[in-house]
Amino acid sequence: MIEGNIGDLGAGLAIALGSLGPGLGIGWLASKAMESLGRNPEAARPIQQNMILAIAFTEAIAIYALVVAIIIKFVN
Amino acid sequence: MFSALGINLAWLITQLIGFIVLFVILHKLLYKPILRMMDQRSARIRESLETAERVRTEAQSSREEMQQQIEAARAEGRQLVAEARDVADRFREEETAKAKAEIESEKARAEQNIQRERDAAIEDLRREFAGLAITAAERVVRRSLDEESHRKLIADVMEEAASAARKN
Amino acid sequence: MSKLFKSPKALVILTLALGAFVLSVAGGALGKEFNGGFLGAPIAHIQLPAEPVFADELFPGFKLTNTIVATWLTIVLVAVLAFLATRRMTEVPTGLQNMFEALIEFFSNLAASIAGPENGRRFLPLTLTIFIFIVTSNWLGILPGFGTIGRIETAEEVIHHAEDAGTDLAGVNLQVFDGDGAVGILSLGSIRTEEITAKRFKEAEEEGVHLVEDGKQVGILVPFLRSANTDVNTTLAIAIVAMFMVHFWAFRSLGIAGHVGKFLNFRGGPVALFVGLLEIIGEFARLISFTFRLFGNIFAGEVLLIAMAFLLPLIGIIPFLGLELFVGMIQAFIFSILTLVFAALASTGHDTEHH
Repeated sequence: MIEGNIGDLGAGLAIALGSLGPGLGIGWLASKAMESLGRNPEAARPIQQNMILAIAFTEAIAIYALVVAIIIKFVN
Repeated sequence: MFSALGINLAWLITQLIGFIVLFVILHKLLYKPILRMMDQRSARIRESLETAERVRTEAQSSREEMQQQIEAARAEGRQLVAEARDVADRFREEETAKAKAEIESEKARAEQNIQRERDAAIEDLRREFAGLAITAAERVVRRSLDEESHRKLIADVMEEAASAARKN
Repeated sequence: MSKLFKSPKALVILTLALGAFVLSVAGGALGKEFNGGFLGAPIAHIQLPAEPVFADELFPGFKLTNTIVATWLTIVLVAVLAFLATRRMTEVPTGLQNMFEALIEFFSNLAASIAGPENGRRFLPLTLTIFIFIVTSNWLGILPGFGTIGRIETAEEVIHHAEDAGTDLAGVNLQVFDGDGAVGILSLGSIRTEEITAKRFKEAEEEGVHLVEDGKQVGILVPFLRSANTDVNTTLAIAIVAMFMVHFWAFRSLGIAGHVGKFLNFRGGPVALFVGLLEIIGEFARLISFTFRLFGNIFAGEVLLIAMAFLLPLIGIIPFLGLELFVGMIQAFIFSILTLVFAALASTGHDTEHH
């Protein structure tokens, strides 16, 4: 029999599922960025800048999941 | 929900005021002076570029002007030389003509004098010759000729003598 | 590799690094399971709301929190730097003046490229202020002293507060401090082999048993300073100012009718009306997204640093400090550039967007 707080499970699931999508998204983003970098190496600077910006947006979604998980864990 | 996240109106307002205070401080202390400085700098750079351009065009135009002046001076010099030559030519011609005219007039006067001397000489000669001829003729034909026909004959002879002298 | 072993300097560095690694593994959380853990920094008490620096209210209904103190510290620091940078300005910039000029020029070009030269100049001060404030407070927040020095809240007070708030006492971990002063430091090695929760402490007290030896006290450290952006109030305040200014500029350039017309569109039929209403929700989503993107990133960074200090005390934290420096700057940049983009979008009407 498993004992413990069901909230912990919820927090774990929240961050686990919530980071799934952004993880895929960041991977896809980086892959596309590398592709365009290979096709057009002169545009390295704008590609890198925009990639970092887009990754930050995608990562924000994971951060929302993290905030939810933290709220579940630390706020009763 | 809000309190669980730590959101509290008093704290929120404090942070709002803090951020706005920072905004005002930075605006007064940082952005205004630095932006003014940057604007000044860019204005100065633009100005100096414009000045350089102006100086360049001025140099260009002054060089052209100088070229024109040199050209004008050269043309003027040429013209002066030509004029001087002209004047000299004219002067020479005038002098030559004057000298020639003087010579002519001198010659004419000399000829006139000669003519007059000769005429006088001829007149004297004729008068003398007429007297001589009359004397001679009187001697030859003392009575055959009257005074008048005598005179006529003498005039004819004189005329012949004069025309002969004129022919010479 | 052979080159590495020939050089004595590299060998010394390698040995030291290996030693530090072994020491930190043995002294950290893993070593704790094998009666080690002598270095381990304790898992600090993690809570979302900022903690009050003083137990008493400063004004009626207002307790000074550690994030507010950190915010004021940031403001003072930035103001002093700005003052020093512009006190004696020279035509050829050096030092601080050069740094700020480079920053301002970078953002000026960015603003001009996003919003056009005229609007860019108008949006520039807010964008710069957001960037400077966030990056400074984030970088200040990872300095030592933030979160580790503070006043000690005794176990009795903790239990009292927790019971008032209806918190489960078993979920509140207590820490042990040397001495009985009111100010404590969360130092390396203060990890306990046994965990003391508030529940256990209360039960032990009721039985008359003292859990810690004399000269030590049980309680919670309330830090004097905490990274300003780990408080939702701070990020929400910046987001409110940013969104307020975005709409203010939109009203200025489009007129009241023009800007309101974007949200309450009665002429375009029911679909346009619905889209307009969605845009209202979108504006609030932007506000919330602004708030929690920054808060989440910085708060998660703090938790990450605490966890790393717990797992690998000496060296585990080093790469993550670098990461936090990067994240702190990137988040500041994103906040400011998003403000710029939203302002540029809102200040151009729907008609001009298509041209």
